Amino acid sequence: MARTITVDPVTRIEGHAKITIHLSDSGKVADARFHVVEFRGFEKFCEGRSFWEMPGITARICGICPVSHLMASAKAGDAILGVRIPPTAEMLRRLMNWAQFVQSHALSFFHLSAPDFLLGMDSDPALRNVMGLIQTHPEVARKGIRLRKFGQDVIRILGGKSIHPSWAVPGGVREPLSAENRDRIAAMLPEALETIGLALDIIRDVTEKFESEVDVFGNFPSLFMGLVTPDGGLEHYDGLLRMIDANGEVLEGTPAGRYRELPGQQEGLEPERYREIIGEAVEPWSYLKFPYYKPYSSDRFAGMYRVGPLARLNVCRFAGTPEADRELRQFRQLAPYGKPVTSSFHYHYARLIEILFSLEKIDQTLQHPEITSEHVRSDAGVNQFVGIGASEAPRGTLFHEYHVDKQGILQKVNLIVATGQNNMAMNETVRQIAQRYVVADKLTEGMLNRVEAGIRAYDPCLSCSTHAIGQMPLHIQLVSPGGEVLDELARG
Amino acid sequence: MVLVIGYGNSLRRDDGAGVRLVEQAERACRGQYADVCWVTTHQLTPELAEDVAAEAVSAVVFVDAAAPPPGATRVDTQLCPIGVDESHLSIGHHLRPEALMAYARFLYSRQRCAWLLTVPGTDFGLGEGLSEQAQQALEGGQKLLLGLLTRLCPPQDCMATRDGVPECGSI
Repeated sequence: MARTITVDPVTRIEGHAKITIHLSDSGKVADARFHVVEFRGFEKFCEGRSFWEMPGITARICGICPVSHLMASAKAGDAILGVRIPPTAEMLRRLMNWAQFVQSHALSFFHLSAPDFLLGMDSDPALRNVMGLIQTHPEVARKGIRLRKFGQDVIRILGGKSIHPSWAVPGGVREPLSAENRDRIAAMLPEALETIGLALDIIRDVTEKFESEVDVFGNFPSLFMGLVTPDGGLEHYDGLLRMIDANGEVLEGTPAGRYRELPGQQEGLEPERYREIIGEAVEPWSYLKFPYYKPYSSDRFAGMYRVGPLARLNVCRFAGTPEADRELRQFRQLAPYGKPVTSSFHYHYARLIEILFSLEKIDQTLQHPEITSEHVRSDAGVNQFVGIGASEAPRGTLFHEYHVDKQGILQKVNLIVATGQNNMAMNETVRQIAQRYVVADKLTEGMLNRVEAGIRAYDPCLSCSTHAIGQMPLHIQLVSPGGEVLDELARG
Repeated sequence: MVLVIGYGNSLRRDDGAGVRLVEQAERACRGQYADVCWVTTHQLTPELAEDVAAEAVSAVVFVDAAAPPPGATRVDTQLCPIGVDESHLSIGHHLRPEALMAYARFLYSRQRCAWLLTVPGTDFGLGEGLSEQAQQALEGGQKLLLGLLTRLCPPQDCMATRDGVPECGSI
């Protein structure tokens, strides 16, 4: 008899979701779905607000990655003003953005995923969490907390507070960086760099031990998208939008590894033109939309693309800092030469390389002679009625599009958030894992944890992507196609 | 040093009462209490464990808001000692003070005396400003807090230093 297994909620992710696994009459996995059950409504209730308020409002979409929204929103505001912000303001925004990458990626690796890696996917669920990690690997837990603290402290030094700092604004930033604070940040770097070295050692061991998981955790061909610098390097704040296919062929931008061949050709598409290549579909069983690559719209599955750390390392030609480039060369050995790395398990490794890159860039930027300049804001009024800000959030590319009237009052808002762009890939990942590990009459915690772990690889931020309130109790139900509850389990 | 941590979301009405109380109390005592570090934050996070376990810290007071139990007709601000609870250490929107104390104990081998001061709230919906009930409870809460601080550390000119102590202020 066909049955449905529901994992609700998915644990150790940001936000609220559930997974349903649909079994056929023969007990094999027929389908699996990742349902996002939060509803936010930011795109609608921001209409009527002033664009000046949007960085502060949209930062509150999320408590884990508010800086990402701050950046994209401020950039959309820059476009409405029609200004280029002062060079020091851009450096400071980049500093905060890199700090955000450090804290967010550190949270994902050390707090959310490390229990699986270090304690084992089949270990006692009562201990397969941060507490278990603290008891068995206290030094790793301590270092992980301090690495995240580094990122939070940098954000707080720059913006006044670590969560929802009111600092990046249209035209620049509110406060410059003093020499004293510059030195404070610099003094914290050596320890952070040592910690990321430890984490990279862990992930290399993990990649060998979890060969089976690497094989089925979202290991399928897809497109990949991310921002790159004008010369094709790893980019987190600005740059051009590049899309590559599963063979590494560039769909938007110049082929990777080669210089521009034709006059006018460039490394990617201007991000403001994102609507030319990204469409959004909806399904009735999830509040999360399904972005896809429009030129492949005849087959939405073919238009599935991934964003975030794995995608960014796949689309860039190089990182641009010495240690991160060294790691990137090793990372690329996970795939045949010239091809993208496809297993979503390797998001974890990519995340750590991005922490390393961010730390190196913070170090470089702090040494710039103009980093303490007090000229950090441009002044202007409304000069354009549409502003689009694109930036890389830790989880992937983020777009804020604002349409305003002459007074700068928002008429229309469109947000495409990182996690949403991974929606199709997350669904496919869940199905792939469930087909390998879930057997109807042999359900185990480890099997269900692997399904959850597949989602965790993407480090989804569901509060962002459904633009929640409350918490669902953990409730697993075995449901017949007719809706009859055959069995259920509650915990917590 | 006594570490006072007020936490909550000021855009969720009474959820911000803990933060408001700490800010108010800090202004009211005007540096009279020696060795008090005032911290306000959106939510408790594992990084605070290091501050809780800092060498200079002898006690911790958490200040939060909560809805009264169902059926309660009148609820005053409560001040209770708390211990260590290692059973709810997941990272999310609700890291409890007892769990933070557990982090401090297991990661840094430090156990501190700790209290939780809870301001009763009735409206946790979206919006700024406190309900009338929460606003009225602030005065009693401030008295309880300052009374506790008087017992824990004598009123003197406050001299904050940076080395070996938590980062005070709004984080």
